[in-house]
Amino acid sequence: MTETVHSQQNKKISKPPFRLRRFLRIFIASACYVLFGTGAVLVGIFFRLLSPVSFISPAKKQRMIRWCIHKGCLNFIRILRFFKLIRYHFDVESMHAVSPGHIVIANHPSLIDVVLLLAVNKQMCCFVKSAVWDNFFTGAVARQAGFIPNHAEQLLPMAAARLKAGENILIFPEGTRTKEDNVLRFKRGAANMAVAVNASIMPVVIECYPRALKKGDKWYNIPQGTPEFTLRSGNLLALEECIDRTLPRPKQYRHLTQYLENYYKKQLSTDTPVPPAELKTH
Amino acid sequence: MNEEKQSILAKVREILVDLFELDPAQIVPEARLYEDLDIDSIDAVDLLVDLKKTTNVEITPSQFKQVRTIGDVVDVFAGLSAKA
Repeated sequence: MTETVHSQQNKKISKPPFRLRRFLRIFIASACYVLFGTGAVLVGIFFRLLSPVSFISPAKKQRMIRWCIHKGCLNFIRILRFFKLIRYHFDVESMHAVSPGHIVIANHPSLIDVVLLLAVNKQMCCFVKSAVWDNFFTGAVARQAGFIPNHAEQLLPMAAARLKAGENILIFPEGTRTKEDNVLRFKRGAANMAVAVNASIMPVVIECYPRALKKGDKWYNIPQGTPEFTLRSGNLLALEECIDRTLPRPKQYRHLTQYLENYYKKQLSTDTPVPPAELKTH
Repeated sequence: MNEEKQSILAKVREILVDLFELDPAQIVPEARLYEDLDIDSIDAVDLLVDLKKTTNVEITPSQFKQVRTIGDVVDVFAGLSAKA
């Protein structure tokens, strides 16, 4: 795989003047950032104006705004693809086939993972940080989309209610983007929630090659080759398949975290999906 | 550390090893719960429930918020059982 990528890169470098290409890509990338920001602000203003309108029920507003977010993200990645800033491939049939009301987890190689995931999920609940929640524009969007502020005291009961109502909740178990070394380090938050609310888990594996938009990368630091994203969803994991539910909960949190980390490590090191039974260590 | 605290420490060690799969050698009075032992706030809730069951001493979440190290845990329990 590396060989083909190298030959592609060589071809690209030998074709047009390299500096010009690079300049153009940075220019287009910055235009895309502006587009994304403008889109978010416009949606924010629209729903901000809509928020006092009382004849549309909050549930309806929530569906509308999530639809807007979904379509916005989908069109945004299409634009990125059109300008050859990214390529992507989705293999998420298994995620669409199962009934909702589960936790969606994914590894987190890049800045746009959440955009890609929202582009393939019509109605998904996210956690948002306080900077987004308290912002005048994005705050209105986040509130009316029914997102959960990650600083909420009642985080677990809120999430449990959403899952029960048939929503899917997205969590990145790494808590932040994967470091340069590509080593996955899962935090226990996702497992804590799954065990506490007894929710099934839909694992989505995100691959990005070459790595782009990592934590700490400057936005203008665009890799030479076009990064290719692959999203692959696995089978829905019931907790009973993964861990012994009779153990004390702190052990369940730890075993589940370990199970999920192993799952991702195996999925990322091989191209063929690994059956869940082979991962059970406890 | 007096005899009573030693016995509380032994009990705390037993619970932590069992509940959080830690190495007994890690459970020393200086060990910090969060940084050294990777025990988070969700774990703390489960720990409190378990300690209450095994020691019969009730400790409130607000009391536990002050706790940083294993030594603090032992002190809180020593103080509470002295009062009881």
